[in-house]
Amino acid sequence: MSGAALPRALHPVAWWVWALGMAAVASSTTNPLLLGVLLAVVGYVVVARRGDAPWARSFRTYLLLGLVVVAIRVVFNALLGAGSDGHVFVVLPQVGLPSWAAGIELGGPVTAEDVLAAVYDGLRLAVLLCCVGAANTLANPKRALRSLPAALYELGVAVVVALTVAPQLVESVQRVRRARRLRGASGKGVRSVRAIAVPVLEDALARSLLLAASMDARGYGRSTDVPVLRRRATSALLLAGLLALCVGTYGLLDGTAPAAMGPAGTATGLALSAAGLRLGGRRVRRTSHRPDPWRRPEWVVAGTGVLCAAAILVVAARDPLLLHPSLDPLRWPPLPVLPLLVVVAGVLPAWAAPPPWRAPTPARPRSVAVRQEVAA
Amino acid sequence: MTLRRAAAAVAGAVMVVGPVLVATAPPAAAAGCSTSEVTVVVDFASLGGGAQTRCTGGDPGSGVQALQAAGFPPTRAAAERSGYFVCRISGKPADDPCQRASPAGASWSYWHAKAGGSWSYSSSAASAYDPAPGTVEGWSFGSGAPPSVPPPASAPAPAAPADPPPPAQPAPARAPVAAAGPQTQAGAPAGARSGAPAPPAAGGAAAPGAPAPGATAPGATAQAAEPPPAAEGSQPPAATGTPGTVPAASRDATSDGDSSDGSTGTTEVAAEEPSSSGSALGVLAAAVVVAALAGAAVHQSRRRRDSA
Amino acid sequence: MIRFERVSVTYPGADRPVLRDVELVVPEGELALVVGRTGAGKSTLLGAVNGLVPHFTGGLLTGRVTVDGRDTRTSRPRDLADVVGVVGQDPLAGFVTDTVEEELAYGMEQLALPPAVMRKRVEETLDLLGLAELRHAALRELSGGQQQRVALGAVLTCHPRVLVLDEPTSALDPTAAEGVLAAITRLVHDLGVTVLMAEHRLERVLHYADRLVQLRGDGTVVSGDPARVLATGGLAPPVVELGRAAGWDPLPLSVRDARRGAADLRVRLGTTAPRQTRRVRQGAPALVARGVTVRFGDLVAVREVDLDLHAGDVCALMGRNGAGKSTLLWAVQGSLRRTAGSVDVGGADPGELPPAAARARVGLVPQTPADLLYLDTVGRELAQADRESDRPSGTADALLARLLPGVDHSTHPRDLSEGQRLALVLAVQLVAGPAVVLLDEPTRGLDYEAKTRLAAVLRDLADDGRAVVVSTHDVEFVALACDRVVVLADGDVVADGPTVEVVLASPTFAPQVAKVLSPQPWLTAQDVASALALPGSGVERP
Repeated sequence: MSGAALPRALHPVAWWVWALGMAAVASSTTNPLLLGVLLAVVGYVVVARRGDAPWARSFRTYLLLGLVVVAIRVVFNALLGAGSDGHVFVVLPQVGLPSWAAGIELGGPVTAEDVLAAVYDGLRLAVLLCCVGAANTLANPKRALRSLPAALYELGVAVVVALTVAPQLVESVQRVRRARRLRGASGKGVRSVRAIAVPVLEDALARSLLLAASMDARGYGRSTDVPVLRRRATSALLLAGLLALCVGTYGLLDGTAPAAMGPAGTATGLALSAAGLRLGGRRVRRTSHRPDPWRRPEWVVAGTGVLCAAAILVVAARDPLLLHPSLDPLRWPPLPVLPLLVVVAGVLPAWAAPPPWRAPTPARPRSVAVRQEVAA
Repeated sequence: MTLRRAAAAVAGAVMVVGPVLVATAPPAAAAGCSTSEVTVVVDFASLGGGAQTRCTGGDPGSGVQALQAAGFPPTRAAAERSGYFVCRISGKPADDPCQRASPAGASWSYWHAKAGGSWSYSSSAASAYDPAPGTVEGWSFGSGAPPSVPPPASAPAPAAPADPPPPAQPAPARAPVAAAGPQTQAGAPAGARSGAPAPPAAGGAAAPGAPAPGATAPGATAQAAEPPPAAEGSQPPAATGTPGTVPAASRDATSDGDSSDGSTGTTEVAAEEPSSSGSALGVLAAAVVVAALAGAAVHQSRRRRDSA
Repeated sequence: MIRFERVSVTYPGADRPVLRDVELVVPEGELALVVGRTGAGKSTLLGAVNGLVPHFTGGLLTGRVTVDGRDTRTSRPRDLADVVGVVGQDPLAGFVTDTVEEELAYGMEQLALPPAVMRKRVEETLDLLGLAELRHAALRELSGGQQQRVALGAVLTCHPRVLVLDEPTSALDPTAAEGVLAAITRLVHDLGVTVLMAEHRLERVLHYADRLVQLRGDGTVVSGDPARVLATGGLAPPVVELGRAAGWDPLPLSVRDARRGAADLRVRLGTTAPRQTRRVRQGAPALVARGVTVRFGDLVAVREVDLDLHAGDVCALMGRNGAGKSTLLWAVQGSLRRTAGSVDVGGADPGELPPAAARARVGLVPQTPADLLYLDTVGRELAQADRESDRPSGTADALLARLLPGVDHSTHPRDLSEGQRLALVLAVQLVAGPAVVLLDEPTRGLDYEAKTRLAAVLRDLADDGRAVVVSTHDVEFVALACDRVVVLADGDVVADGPTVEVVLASPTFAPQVAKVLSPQPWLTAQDVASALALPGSGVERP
């Protein structure tokens, strides 16, 4: 018992770094075996370390979304795939298209290669989505937004407010739909869209004005006076940094650009932007009530993400074919050992992170229970 | 053998002179394949190998089959959005990992033309387009320029040896066709090939068939897109439909650069195999890992639910 | 502490100023109550204290408003956040974070206080308002009273000198309101905070007030001692009305004050019984509900309720929040699915009819009437209502004119006052001609005058031969308007009988007049006034 860590919530940025590292690993391979193991790893970490809050139950939605992505891809490939050689397993009726659409073939034979290509690619996107979903499930999104640099504070608040307002909007829609029945409408159909949207939007507008007044009255937006020169300098730095980042990103992605453009541009851009953000952050003065600490578990979790991403990039650079099983000819995908180890190493946060902390919840008052059930 | 070499030398000389003559002459000077087959022109451009023209020896079912029948085994890869695209022909370019669409400046573009006409960019995928016999298929590597050779006109009723089977027919016609366009030593092999069948002029697919049996197989199984040829050499005469036979003739393992190209292609392709092939065992191992993790997750969630 | 010097406020596009030459001084440590009709400018006055008017709302403010020496002309609301705290009517709309503790800390974070100070103040405030066990609770899972207390705590953590409250208890049931008001008075008495509060339900707060600020409706303001201000007229709680009717001087502000002088009033009233204007139930019931049960999984919201509604009756449905009043009304109307039980209106079950047919038998005005309105102008809504119910055009118009004359047809429904909106929705629902009319908490946000008008409207509807049910917390309104009271608790019917019996049975929840004059069964000041005016009732009132 002595070695057990105290339950607490891990710093949200650590979870995000880990999740993005796993996403980088997922996006560098189309091997379904590796992707499957990665999904299992991410799912295990989520189950082991998620909290009890309502936002922590959203992982299932992301899994469902991933499934939908794969299904859409398969359907599209089956319908529009242009493969007639390969292992045909079903022949759809072919729809003739006018000559100007000659490149598109609707229907026709569906080959296993086509479907499998769709599955591989869709699986990659689905696992990517699930990695992002894992980050949302493990780290409170609102606390994550608090970790933004001070200069982006207002942006973070806008997003936080949007996240808060969204469930209220849903509740509003339900309430108005019920009220439509009182006016004799069935609450469905295109005609009722206006009748539902207008009160909901008016309500939302009124609420947002109330919220704005409340935040204003509580001191939101207090900024210390900054000399004009400093403000101009901040804007200039940020703009220059953004431009340099654009140039650097283009250089990285375009193969024909000069070799130095990519890394040099990105590095310069990051440096300038960081300087601008630091300078701009001095303007906003606010403190944090209970800031999340960054201790050893945070380093371990974030480090796992970074190292896994780096390792897979090294493997991809050395032997790209290892991570991309070919479908032509059709055969079982291989299970390369080194990438598998890299993927499985991503499960470390399930033990390195402290156990999730559960708030003692007081009993829900009956009035709240009734109100929520009726509204549902 | 010596006779062959002599023939090769003669053909080579013709080849050297030919381009000079042909360079100024329009397509009419070049003769294509017969009207019952499809001519395939592959312009390797910067990859080395120049523009090569071969015949499919039959009516192929799709542009991909035409390539295979003509002896240019394509490697296809799954593009990111949908379907396949041809990323390598005869194993080139070898450094394209074929995991996503080739860069715009270094990819294979697909062209059609009527015999003796001009190139038009294809609006269909190679696996979806069925080339009509007598037309010309073009492939060009680079940034999307058409093949540097014009589409050859079809050959008249071939003055071929008494070889009714198509495989033998295209062979003589190939020499001038192969002559079209800048050739390096690829020309010589073609010439040698065309030369090779001519002298023997044996019945059946004997001449091409001789080296063929070993090499035919590759073609026949080109469908499966991989080498080691099976012994389907006996088929060629009867089966005009087997485009494999033609590439068989071209895949002459006996000589020269082109077949060495082919063989390098084969070896290259063969070399890829081990790294990208797997077995059911790998899938099983992965499934075991996934099941273990899933079980652990279920156990965790149950434990948490109980303690909650 | 708060000083208004010749302040006038004109909103953009308005032809008249809302506030005109207001002179007001609220010394430190006082609880000042702002009263006035809806639309008289209470919100504007309160908004001007911390600078929301005009910095946030726009408009022209002439004159000077000073709070703790700071001028609102030069200080914006966020600069005054450490001096003035504002709490509104809907606490949920003002919450920025998810949990109680974070909400309490939010204001301090904006003021850039050091974390150690923040931790201490959060603990103090939790104790002060009795929120200690709720510190990790999600804000959406709290009851209305708890939410309002959290909103109060969230502004208190910044240790403001002035607290501005805009109708803080209007959405709360009596118990929750008591809790919030107790907290506020404790602040005034223990911490010396200056409180400026606007409230419609004066009977709850008048006895706590040190100063009354009365908005006359023409933009001017009268402020001073509550009894003296009320003696000059204006809206007043029942106990003051009683005092006016009986001619007491000074006017009593609370039940305790009134009881002291009530002895001889009781004598004067003697054996005169309150006028029986209430009808006796007769004939077949318009609606018969038997065994109505509504369940949501484990939660039983309404448990086997039997209800008979007779035409000509105005029935009140009372009970605390969560007792199931709204659920029962919706289930009876047919829009909420019943788990069990039967409802019979004119031979049919509204739950099994399509919505259009159900509303022709039972009409319901929900808690937020604005949910039903979606068109641009009042005129269009009325025309749409006629179309929906297949009635000749002009029907809805006539109904609205009867309920509330003088509503401009070109106004946007959202620009109407609460009372006008309620009347509009009631007219829309009445167009279908239902025999039973249900109203869910219509009295929120209505001042005394509007409530009296509503009571008259309901009486008219009942006289037309309809059965009317009103769900409400407001005992005074029930005493005024309703013949019969049904009390629900935990989904069960706890009491069902004539108003006089049910309402007088509980000493805590009786109307003020009843408390003053008990054991005599008087419900409203109007009753007393009319009894006193009868010849031969003793000393004529001056």
